[in-house]
Amino acid sequence: MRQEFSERVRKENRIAFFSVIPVFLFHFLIVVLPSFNTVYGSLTNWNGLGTKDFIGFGNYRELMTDPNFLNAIGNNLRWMAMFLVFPILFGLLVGYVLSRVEKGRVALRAMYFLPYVISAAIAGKIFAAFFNPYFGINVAFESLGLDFLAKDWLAPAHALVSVAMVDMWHWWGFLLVIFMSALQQIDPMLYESAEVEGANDIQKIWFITLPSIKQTLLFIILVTMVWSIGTFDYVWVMTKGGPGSEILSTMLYKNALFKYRAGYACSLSVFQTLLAFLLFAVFGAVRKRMED
Amino acid sequence: MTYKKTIGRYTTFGILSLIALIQTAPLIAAVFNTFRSDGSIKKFPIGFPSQFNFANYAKAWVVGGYARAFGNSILVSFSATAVVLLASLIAGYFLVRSQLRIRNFILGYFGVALSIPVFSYLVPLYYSFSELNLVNSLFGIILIYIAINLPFNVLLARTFIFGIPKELSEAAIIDGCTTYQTIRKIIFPLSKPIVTTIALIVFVATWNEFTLANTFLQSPELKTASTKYVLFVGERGSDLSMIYTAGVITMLPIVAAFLALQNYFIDGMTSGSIK
Repeated sequence: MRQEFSERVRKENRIAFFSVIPVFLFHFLIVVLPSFNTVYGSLTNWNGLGTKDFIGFGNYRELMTDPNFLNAIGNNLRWMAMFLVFPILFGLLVGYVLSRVEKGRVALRAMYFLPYVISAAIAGKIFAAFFNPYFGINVAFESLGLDFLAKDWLAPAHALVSVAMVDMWHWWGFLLVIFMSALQQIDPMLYESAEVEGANDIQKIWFITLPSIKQTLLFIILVTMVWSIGTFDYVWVMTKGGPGSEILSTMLYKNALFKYRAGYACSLSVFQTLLAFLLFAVFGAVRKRMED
Repeated sequence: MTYKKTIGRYTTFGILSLIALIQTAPLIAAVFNTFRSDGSIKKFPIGFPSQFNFANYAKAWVVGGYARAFGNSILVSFSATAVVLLASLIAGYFLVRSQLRIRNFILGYFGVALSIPVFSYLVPLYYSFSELNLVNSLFGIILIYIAINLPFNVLLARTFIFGIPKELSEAAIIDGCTTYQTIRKIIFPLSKPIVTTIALIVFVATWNEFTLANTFLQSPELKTASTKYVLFVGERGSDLSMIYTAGVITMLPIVAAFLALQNYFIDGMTSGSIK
C-alpha cells in the first residue's frame, strides 16, 4: 500500500515536472537568455549580423562622452519629473472626489479610463495629426485669438512635453482606478470619528486618506520612476525621438536597427536596466522606511 | 445646509463631467473628422460634420489594407491568448498542488521575470530571430507574445487556483481521474472568473502592442492593425480625412469592446497592481 502510494507521488511529480519545465524553459529562451546576451553584446563591437569582437568597456566609454546620451538621460529625467507630478496628483485628486460621488460614478470612471485601452500607435498618430502645425489645433487657437498657443507643438523646443502630455492623457485614468480602489479600502468609521472630533476636509485628507493609501501611492511612485527610464512607444510613434525628444530607448532602437551598432545599443540597454534597478533599490529602501 | 450641499454636489458633478468631456474630446473630434472632407479639416481642424457619409470609411478600409491587418491581429491575439491561458492554468495548478522541489524556484523566477523590460532582450532576440527566419513571421511574434505574457498570468492563475479547495481535486483523483482529467474536469470549470481576466489581459495587451510588433513585423502585409496604421500615416500623411478615419477604424474594435464590457476591462487591466 505504502509503496503504491509513493509510486503514485513519484508519477505525479513526473507529470508536474514535465508540465512546468516547458513553460519555464520557453520563457527563459525567449526573454532571459537574450537578456544575458545583451550583457555580452555590450562588450563587443557587434553590428548585429557579423561576429562579435570583444572590446571590453569601449562602448561604455563612448557612452560617457556621447552628447546624445547625456541629452537622452536628461530627457528621461524630465519625463520622470512630469509623470511623478501630474498624473499622480490628478489621478489622486479626481479619484478622491469621484469616490464620494454616487450618481454617474461608473460612467465618469469609464470616460477617464477610455484612453488607456487605446494603442499608443493609434492615439499617438491621431494626436500628431492634431499637432500638425498648419492644419491642426493651431488653426483653432489662432481663430480664437490664442496666438500664443499656436506653436509647432512637435518641434524640438516642445516635442518632449507634447508627447508626455499625450502619454499622461492615456495614463492618468489608470492611476485613478488604482487610487479609487485603494480609497475604497478605507474604513468609513475613521472619517466619521474625525468628523465628531471636528476635523475639516483638509485635515481628513492629510491625517486619514493619505496615510491609508500610502502603500499604493509609494508603489505607484516606484513604478513611475522605473517605467520612465524605459518609456518608448509614444515617443517613437510621435517623433521617433527626433531632436528635442531623444530618450534612452529611442537612441537604443536607432543604434540597434538602423545604425548597425547593436553592441552599442546593448550597452545602452545595460545602462538602462542598471539605472532602473538602482532606482528600484534606492526607492525600495526609502519605501520600506516610510512604511515602517 | 441641505440647499448648500445640493449646490456643492452639482458643482462637483459639473467639474467631473467637464473633465470627462475634455478627456474624450480628442477622440470625439477625431470621429467627427471621419465624416468630413480633407479640405474642410484643413480649413478648420475641429468641427461638426455636415453629413454622416461613410465614404471615408470604405476608402480607408481598402486603401489601408485593413482586412488583412485585422486578420493578422485576430490570428496573433487569439493564438497568444489561447496558449497563455492554457499554459498559465496548467502551470498554476502544478505550482499549487504538486510537491515538486523546484516549485519555489519557478515561483521566484516568474516573480523576477515580471519586471524584465522589453529593451533588455530586444536586440539579441531580434538578431537571433532574424537568423531563425522568425522575423517577418506571425508565428515568430506569437512566440514572443506568449513568452512575455506568461509570468504575470501564471502567477495570477496560481493565486486563483490556490483558493480552490484542495478536497475537490483530491476527490477527483480518488475517483480515478488522472492528473490532467482533474485539471480539465475540476480546475478549468471552477476557474472561469480567472479565465476571463487572463484572456482579456493577454488579448488587449497583444492587440495594442507596438514596440515588438513594429520591430518584428516589417513587411506591410504582415503588420497588425495598429502598426499598419502607423505605416499608413507615414505613407498618406497629407490626407487628413484618411488619417482620422483609419485611426478610428483601428481603435473601433477595442473601444467598442471596452464600452460593452467596462467592468471586466477595468478590473482585468488593473488586476495585480492593486493590493
